[in-house]
Amino acid sequence: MKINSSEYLLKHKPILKQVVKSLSKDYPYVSILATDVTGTIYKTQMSETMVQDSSWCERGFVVRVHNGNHYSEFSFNEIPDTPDTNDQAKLIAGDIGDRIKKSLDALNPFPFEKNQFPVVDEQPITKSIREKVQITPEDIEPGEMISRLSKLKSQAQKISPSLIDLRVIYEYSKVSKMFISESKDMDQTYIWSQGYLIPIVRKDDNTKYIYQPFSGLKGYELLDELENSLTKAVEEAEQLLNAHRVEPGEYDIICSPDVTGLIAHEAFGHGVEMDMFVKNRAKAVEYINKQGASDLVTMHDGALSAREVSSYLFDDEGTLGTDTVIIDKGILKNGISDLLSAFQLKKTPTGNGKRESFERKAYARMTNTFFASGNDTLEDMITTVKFGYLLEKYSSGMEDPKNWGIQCMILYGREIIDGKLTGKLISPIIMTGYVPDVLKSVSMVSKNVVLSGSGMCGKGYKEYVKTSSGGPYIKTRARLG
Amino acid sequence: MIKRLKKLLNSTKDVNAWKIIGKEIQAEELFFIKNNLDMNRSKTVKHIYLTIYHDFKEDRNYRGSVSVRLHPTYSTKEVEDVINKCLLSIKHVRNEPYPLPKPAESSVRIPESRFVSKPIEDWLKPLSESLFQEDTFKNGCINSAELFLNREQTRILNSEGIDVSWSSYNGTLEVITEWNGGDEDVELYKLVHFSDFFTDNFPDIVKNQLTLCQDRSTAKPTPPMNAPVLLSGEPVQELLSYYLSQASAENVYNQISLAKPGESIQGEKITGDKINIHLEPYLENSIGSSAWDMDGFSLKPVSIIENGILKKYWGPLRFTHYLDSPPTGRVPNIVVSPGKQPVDEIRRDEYLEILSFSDFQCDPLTGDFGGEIRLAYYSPEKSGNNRYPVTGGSISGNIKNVQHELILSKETRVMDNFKGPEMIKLLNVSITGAE
Repeated sequence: MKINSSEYLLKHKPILKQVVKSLSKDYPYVSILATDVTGTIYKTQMSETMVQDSSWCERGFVVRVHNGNHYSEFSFNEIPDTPDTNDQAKLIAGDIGDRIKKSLDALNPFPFEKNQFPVVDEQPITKSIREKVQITPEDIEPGEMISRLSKLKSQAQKISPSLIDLRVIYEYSKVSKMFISESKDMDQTYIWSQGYLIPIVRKDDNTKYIYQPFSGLKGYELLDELENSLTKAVEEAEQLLNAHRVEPGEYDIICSPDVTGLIAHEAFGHGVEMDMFVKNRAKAVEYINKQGASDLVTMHDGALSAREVSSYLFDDEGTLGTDTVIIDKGILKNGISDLLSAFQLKKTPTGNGKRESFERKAYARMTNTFFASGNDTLEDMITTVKFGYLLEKYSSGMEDPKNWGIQCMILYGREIIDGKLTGKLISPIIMTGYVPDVLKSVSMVSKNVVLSGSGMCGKGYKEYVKTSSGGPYIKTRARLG
Repeated sequence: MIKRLKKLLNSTKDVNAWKIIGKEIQAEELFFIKNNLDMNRSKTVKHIYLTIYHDFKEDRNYRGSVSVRLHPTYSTKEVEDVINKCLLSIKHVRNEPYPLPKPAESSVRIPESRFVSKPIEDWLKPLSESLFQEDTFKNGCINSAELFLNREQTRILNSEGIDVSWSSYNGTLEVITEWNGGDEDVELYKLVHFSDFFTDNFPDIVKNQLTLCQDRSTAKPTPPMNAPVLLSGEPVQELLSYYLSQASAENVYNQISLAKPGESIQGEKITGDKINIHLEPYLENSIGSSAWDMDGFSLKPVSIIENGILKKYWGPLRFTHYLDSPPTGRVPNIVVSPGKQPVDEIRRDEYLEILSFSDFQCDPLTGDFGGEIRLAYYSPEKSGNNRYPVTGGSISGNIKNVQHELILSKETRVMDNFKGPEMIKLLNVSITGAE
């Protein structure tokens, strides 16, 4: 079913065009990103139910101008309540101009230098896209939604006597964005959904949990995936009650697709965000066109590289999405860029300029990041491991783009001895290592690529955006603790 | 909008109660690369958050609720549509009934921030100068920094008659320092929140970060060891927040925590320091300081844990009501009492003192903690002398296995919404070396 565009954005488009025209008299470059994101999160657990707007909901505008030196931005979310469109546009443009001037005046005389940026030279583009989902979540009766989520709770209780809670979450966001400048007129509308099963189990004082994520450019149909995975998720959580701590050391490891994705994301994804190149914060610069990984490793990122939660027509700076090959057979080839970083580095922008919301700055951010497939099978990989672990599910990761350390918090690992899974589990695990060492050690890569886009990605400890990541199973070596 | 909304809510039949939170934010943001201004941003936005409640009876009584955001550009028709949509959902939200807070005088005085004295854009220069004041090292510098200052006006109303409002300041500094004179160029990351202006605040942070960066540039790979682990700074807060999670009425109600008032929350046979935690509505420079929580509940200081014994659950009125526990509200600031040993004494034996992690985490549910080491000092000798910087590797453990013999330092530190021991000593932590 095709998704309807935001009536709000369409209604205000003539005003936005006039604002751009008006501000262009004073500034050599003006653009406006307008957003209207709606959505709902439904959550059930044993003792309560929650329904609220998705945390990704927003409606507002961000104006970017070239102020003669660098770029200034102003975020706002009110439109003056006057009947005439021309008057509204004049008032908005006047307010924006005043506010930008006031902020710049406050910086003069400024005790430090200001970077000089060239003016954006845009090619004319007019594009509009409305994506489809099978079942639009907005059309579903809330009673039906909550009833389906609640049923999973009672089913889960029958699966494990150790279960103390089952959190079931379904969330969707309908994203509508419009980008207007003198050369560009674009809008896009799409829906992404994500869901979680989080069974929590307890035996005596020992509490464990797992979460099974689901995501995609999907609608209400995502709930089918949650329902079909319930038994496996609860049984996995129960198995963790018997998990042991890992003996610290370096091991042969096989990473499941979500852990592979975490490595791709934290190791090379953040490391090739090109605003880090501009700041001289990226070790990756030293590896461009050099071997940074095993020749079995090819890595992509891009809004067009896969269909997941970060697939779009244009980014938050009005650059069309692309498919960037970051690593090609082990050779680090390209970074991913926002518009202004690409400017400074004299590169073509890759369409990775993303904002947490209209209220925040655009940075170079990942979209859909993954390692490409290989020719091996998981079964073959397991048979080659003398003593190691199959790592599954993660809770978080952290980048270190300058010094290329990597931290991955893994939920559990399955022990492998003499080429066979022993049934013994270790949990939790901290996987660490030096990025080139981990990736140069990749010795086997499986055929099927799986991506997941649940959760969110921060830059440092802020600026959270939707991304997806994934890959095939990979075999490598890393330190576990 | 709020006046219009109140009228609409009060005249809608199935809305039995409601809460409105209004926020008006004015912000200025500066982005630096080295000490060059790369971009400036400004913001003026309004947000309205509405929760409506509906009471109904099936097999028993329920109170359902739905929370939504109302954009300031919504027409009356759009607001009506949103409320009607909420009412469709709310009849399926079967939660135990609970009351909303009633109006109460606040006994807490929140001192005025220095930022009140002039418009926020006029603080950009003093804040920037303060940021770069100590950026004077030969081989190290501020690589990049982001400086945000928000002025926020918050108003909370509910159908019980609460109507409170206050102004606050919410500042953020993200600063990355680098050092280029060692074996390898290195950097460290720091995120700081502030609500007031102190001339020494940023210079002290930057100077300390640069000094740590210098040490990281000469750090050796962390060797494998079984030394006691010393944590300081943010990880102390992260680790001790486990106890707040255990004492949370919401977590107890949801069976995530089994903690009971009058019982030890720190395990048995405690040979180290016993935990004491109280919560404060006001803490200097904390962006969370407030006389009311986001339900409009009037906050007071409250003691939660005394000598390792849980005294009282804490949390929003809804969950303390469920547990028939005295109401506390969601008090924003955490104060942990210090221990008896000075830092110098704690450092007397062999230790691994970790100054910076990639991302230290303590799971509030399981008590598992750990993180990758970006910078630590290892002192291999029993005397505690001859320490040297190390990097790489990780630590991991479970708080339930270390809590009976943890040592809290006598010295305290204030960070964001936390005041507590400067240092914490942990035994039996698993250390993975990087060699």
